[in-house]
Amino acid sequence: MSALLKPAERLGAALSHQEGDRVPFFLAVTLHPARALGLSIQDYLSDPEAVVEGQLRLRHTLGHDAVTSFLHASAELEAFGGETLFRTDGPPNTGAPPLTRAAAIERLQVPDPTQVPALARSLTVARGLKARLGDDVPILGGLVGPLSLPVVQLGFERYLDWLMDAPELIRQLWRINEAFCIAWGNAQLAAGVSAVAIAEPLVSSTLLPKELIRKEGLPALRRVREGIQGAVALSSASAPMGRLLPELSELGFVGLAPSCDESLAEAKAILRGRVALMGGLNGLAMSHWSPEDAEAAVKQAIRAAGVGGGFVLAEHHGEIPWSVSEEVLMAVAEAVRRWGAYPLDWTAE
Amino acid sequence: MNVGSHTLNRVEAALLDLDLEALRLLVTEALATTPKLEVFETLVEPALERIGRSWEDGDLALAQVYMASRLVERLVEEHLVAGQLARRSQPTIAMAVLEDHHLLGKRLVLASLRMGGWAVADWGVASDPVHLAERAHTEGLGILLISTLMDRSARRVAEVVSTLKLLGASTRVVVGGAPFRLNPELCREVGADATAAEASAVPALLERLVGVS
Repeated sequence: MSALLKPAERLGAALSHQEGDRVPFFLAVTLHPARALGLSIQDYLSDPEAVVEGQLRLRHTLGHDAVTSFLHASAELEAFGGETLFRTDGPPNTGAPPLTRAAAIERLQVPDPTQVPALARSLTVARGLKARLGDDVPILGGLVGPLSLPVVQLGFERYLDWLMDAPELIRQLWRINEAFCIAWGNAQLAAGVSAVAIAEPLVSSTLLPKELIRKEGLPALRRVREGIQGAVALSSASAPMGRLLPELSELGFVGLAPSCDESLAEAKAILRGRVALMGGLNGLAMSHWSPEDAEAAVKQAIRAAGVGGGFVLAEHHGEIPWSVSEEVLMAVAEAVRRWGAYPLDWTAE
Repeated sequence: MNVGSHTLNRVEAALLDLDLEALRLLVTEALATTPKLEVFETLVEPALERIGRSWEDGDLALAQVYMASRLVERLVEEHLVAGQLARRSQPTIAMAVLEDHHLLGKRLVLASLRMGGWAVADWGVASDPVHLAERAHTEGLGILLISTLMDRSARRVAEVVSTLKLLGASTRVVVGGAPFRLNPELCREVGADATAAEASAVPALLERLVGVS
């Protein structure tokens, strides 16, 4: 086994397709720190200092290999005139779609993310985490991709209706979203995040037709990736990447996070040596796991994808549900330490 | 009506090509020998079911399922007026989305059910599970269909079920949406009676639930 690495070194090894001291893991605990700090979810997410404290506390408790400055997906909708609805026992949700008329898109300008209070809070979190952690622990930023933003900007029905009836309007919105995503990604990098993860469920051919994704979606994602001046990963937020995975792997992302319903071993075979594979754990299923289930899931994922590096164990949707117990999170962390140490000789048994 | 696979293929192709004229023609041909409802049940509904299964198998996109459903909605509107919809004995049924503004799933399910002749009241968005259960009880609902998008709202179905029990209501609860698809244990956990992985499977599920053949 190698000497104990720092989280940044461990992740760096994985992204370089080498075996470090163990498989790196990251649990996207965006809500759980509120419970640890005795705050309501709304109070927690509204206070950047609390989020910094909460992220550091959970990092200490779990020992995972990154922290996140991402707050909630609805924050991005606020840039387009939408609202966030806070809940006491779950993630904030988006309010009613703000863009309901064609004219609203025709006159829409690219918002400046730094001027949106909810996004500015996330930037403050990134700066706070960077000040406390330096370069030892990676800070992950996040954003919703240009194809998926219209789901909350317009509502999914209107999005699909307009795709059929007014495709030029949708293309115009995608272009605005591309520019917004690039600006928002770069603002996060400037604030100190180490990498930006794009959540783009609509890159899944279970949601949009493959031909449309190939023709319009993949070029848009490439442009966004190229526009963001740093490391960018892509998550389909639990939607299957399916047969598009090889094409997605050509877009220059440092990591791809497909759905955990897909074969990790097959995904690893496609990505091996070129793009890191991220994921392997189903957050929704975690809520009824026992510690033994957690250990079994971790073992299964590491067995499928851990050998040779290039794998980061993570929850596949991008946010651990509030209903998942700390006991299960701890069991995941323990299992990674127990079964994830390189070399993974036990996987050959 | 005995529908051959060739005809079914043509209906499916018309739905996927969004070719309303072709679809109208196929339905008109069938109507020459078969009652309206039977045409929908044996020709259009199975084609939409095939499309739903292809989505489940990863061969089609939800957008294609939705657009096909939208076409079917148009066809239903053209052929079946509101009064004709409840074509058989059925319990009172309503559908609501719990705590969300994304109504796509509800629209797909309603299109599937209405095409199959089920009368379903659309209760829109319900923000409070207790009020939803109380309304179901007050209106003597036989079946309540609940669509959800988020894990939190899916878990709040448990409050609907417990309130219904508290009120002594016999309403059965059918749930759907991504949280239930990704977490197969959740339906049982929240105490719902049944769930379906996709919209076109709901009519068959209801038939099993109420014993309608």
